[in-house]
Amino acid sequence: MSIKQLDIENLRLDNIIITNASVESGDIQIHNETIAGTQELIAQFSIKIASNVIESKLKLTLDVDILPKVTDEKNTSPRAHFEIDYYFFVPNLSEFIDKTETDIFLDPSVAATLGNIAYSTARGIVFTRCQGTPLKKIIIPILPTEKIKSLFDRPQ
Amino acid sequence: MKFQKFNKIVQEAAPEIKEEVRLAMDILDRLHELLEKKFDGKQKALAEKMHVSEAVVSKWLSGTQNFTISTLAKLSTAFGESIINVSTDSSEHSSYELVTIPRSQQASIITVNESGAMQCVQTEYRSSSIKKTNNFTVQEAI
Repeated sequence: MSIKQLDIENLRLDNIIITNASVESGDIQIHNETIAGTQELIAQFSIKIASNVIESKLKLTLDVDILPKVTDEKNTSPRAHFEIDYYFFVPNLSEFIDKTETDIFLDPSVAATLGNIAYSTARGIVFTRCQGTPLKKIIIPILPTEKIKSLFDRPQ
Repeated sequence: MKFQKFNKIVQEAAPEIKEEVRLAMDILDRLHELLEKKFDGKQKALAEKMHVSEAVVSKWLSGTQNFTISTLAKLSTAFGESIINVSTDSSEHSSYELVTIPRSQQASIITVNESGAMQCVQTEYRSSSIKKTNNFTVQEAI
């Protein structure tokens, strides 16, 4: 449990840059007349964070992939890859950074707050960018804050 | 009478002078705020951290100092926080240090039926190998 509270009123999302957005149509369509049955897809994401304590800035990079769960050799299912950079201004960032000799750790609560903002925004970006493609009906699922926070919990 | 004179002088001051005074006062406020926060308001502690005399610190905090960029940079480093922020669009060009994330990848399996209805059936952590580059970790999904 963190003692310091994030000054959420002064938290700022300065910039969002979509550095990579690719959707591959594949050979088969999802939900067209020729394909019946249920499709299984994997939506996976990974987060990278870098900090600039002096300027109280954080750069969060979110990679989102939508992939078929099972790859069929004859037919290739549609897939998508997105890479989105978020630039945050975090007031009093230094209070939430813990530096060891080898690593820099960010307070899990702050990381979860920023991760939530990034992930929610990415859901909208991915949905919008997938319009007009075979993945037009796909919305990456909502994730509970606790799930995102647990990514940043330091091992005991 | 004295106030009337003072107000008249302020009103007649050139805009650049007014701006200079405003900037100087803002910087002074910020310095006092950071001194209180980081060094319990002790000028001596800041002087020791910056390897300068207390007299120099006292002069900085008097409000009459015309700071150079070099001094502001040294003060920012000593406080661990910036003194002034300049609005630019260059966030992406700042220098960043990598933050370690114990488990940075998560996956959800979604099923989509013929009608387009979606269901998230499973959410799990993914194994990944992490290698460090200059700025970021590179996640390689297994």
